[in-house]
Amino acid sequence: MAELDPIIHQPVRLRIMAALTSLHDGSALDFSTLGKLLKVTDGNLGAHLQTLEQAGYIKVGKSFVQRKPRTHAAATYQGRARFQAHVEALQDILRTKP
Amino acid sequence: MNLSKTEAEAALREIESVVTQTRRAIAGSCCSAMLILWGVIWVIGYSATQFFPRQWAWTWGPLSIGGIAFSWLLGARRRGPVRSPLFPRLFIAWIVLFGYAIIWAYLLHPFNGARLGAYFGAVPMFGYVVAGLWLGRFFIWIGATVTILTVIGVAAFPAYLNLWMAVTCGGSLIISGVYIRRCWR
Repeated sequence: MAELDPIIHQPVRLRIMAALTSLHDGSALDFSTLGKLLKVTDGNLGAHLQTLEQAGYIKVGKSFVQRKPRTHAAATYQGRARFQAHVEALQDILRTKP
Repeated sequence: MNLSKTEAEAALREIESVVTQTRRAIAGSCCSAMLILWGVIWVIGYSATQFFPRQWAWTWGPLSIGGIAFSWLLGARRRGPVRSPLFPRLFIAWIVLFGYAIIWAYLLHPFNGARLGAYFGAVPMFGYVVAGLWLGRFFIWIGATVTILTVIGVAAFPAYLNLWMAVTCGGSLIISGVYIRRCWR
């Protein structure tokens, strides 16, 4: 039986992982788009991204577009696997609990 | 960690909602302008071909070159919210698709003019349907709808096929682009 992941379980991090794992493998999402999508402040988003990055679930990178820095975040292989396991654990609860 | 059934249900609903919003935001940021651009090009090109069929090369040549240049500019300037290793391959896939379309047109020659127009209208829609298998059902719907409208036009209105393509197919692309822009952001 799959287990719930306490790092992913936090609501904002759950939504971050849902957004990033919905992209194709190796694809990264822009920081500001992620913030708008999840309706969280830059500071809040940055803190949660850092937690996920430290856990090895996401990778954060920077690039330059028209000489302006842009931050991107992408789910790692490990992050995708842990998120998938978390979703399966949630589905198990629906199946097994009365 | 212990969760109730209601909490688990809410978390799964939240995940589904974020996934849908993410896909829509991506499509909205990069695809709506392209759909509107090519819809307008189709409306102008097919309408002009209906009324001035002999000048088709003078109509479609500048429109196609302008459309490709504008598409490139849109892609380069906008830089959508996603960085993906898939994009260069998608670009190459479109070039390969049109390369084959030109070869098939040569192999199947002779077409009449209107059918050739319908054929080159259906080719990118095939691309939309195939891309939709990876990018989302919306593209499958657009591709399939425009293809069906093209086939109906060929079968039912051969004399007015170019006008039919302009209104229904060009119109579908414009409406899809406007819909994405208004509702998916």
